[in-house]
Amino acid sequence: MLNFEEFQMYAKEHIKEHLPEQFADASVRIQETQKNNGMVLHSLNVLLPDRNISPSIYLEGFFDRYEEGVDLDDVMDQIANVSETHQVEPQTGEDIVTNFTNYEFVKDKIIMTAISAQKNEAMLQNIPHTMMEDLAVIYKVMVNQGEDDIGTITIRNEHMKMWDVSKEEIHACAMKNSPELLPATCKSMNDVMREMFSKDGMPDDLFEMMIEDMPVDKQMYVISNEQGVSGASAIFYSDVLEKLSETIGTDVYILPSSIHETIAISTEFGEPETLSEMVQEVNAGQVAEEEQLSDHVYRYDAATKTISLADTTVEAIMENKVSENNQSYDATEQMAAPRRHR
Amino acid sequence: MDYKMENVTVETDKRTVRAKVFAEYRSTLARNAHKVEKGDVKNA
Repeated sequence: MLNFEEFQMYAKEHIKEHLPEQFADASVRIQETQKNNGMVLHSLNVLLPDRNISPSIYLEGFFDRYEEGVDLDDVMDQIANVSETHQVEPQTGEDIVTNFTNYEFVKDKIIMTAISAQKNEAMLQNIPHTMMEDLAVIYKVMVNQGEDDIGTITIRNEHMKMWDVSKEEIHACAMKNSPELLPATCKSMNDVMREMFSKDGMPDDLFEMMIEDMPVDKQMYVISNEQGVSGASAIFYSDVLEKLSETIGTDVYILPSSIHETIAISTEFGEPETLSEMVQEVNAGQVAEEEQLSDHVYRYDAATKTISLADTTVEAIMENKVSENNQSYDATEQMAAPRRHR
Repeated sequence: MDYKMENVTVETDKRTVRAKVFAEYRSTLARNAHKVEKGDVKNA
């Protein structure tokens, strides 16, 4: 049985045996890709000689199948099939490269995404970002857009240098473009659930029987974008929370349910500390690690039109982090101590 | 599907299933709101 390292090497060395003749001169690479919240994925990239773009076949899922008992040759056939079917035409790659180097072309396609600053500390060293309390707003160039997906390139420090633009300029573009390219949605939780159940075939009248009618100030609101992808940053669009607080007549607590959306409620719904505990529980039990945004609750102040942490402060988060680091240092020291006595 | 080029990665992010997360928030928040109404939890 191969371990994951060996599986990657095997895939790299043997993939061409499972591909058609046209891939004979292709170059094969194993690459690491940094994903959200410190997750790292390993891909197999098969690059044809006349192309400059290759599909990334992430091997983690295929290794799981292999570990579950699927024959290695069958797994290799599956990898080869995905690699072959997702090759793109040479011109598409050329267009992306040519357009991406041209700031005049990309500036209207820059959008923003909110992620956890704490969990992405290493990645943030290489990418321009703007801190919003404990969240980092990062910037991406949108290269394609589907009904329920978006294709993007994350802007890195070297891209800013290449374009010779400042982070402030990129931020301004993202603030302008995001509401236009990824319009915000703010729907009551009941409406969101109704849409979901309706897609699963539940008749509307049956759903109506299941839910109780609630006044606007007792509703929960899901804030995202039309795609429902990386939509948590919609809370930073200029008018979304302003309109919601006008509708419900109070300030708003924002629960960071994931990087894809947030849940907003009236500040009369409860205490931020209790809500924060709830967010932590749901994050731990229901939200995939790479989709988690934060364990903290935010308050939108309608008078000042600002968003701030409601259950803690950035300083307290940083202090906790230092204290956790010290504790893990102490633990290492303690674990190391007996060795010195051997 | 993500794509790798010389100096950039094109990442495709797809909408994921959110029903379980929403259901969890909905039921917990409703319980919490009920406690607030009853006065078990101090209002903010």
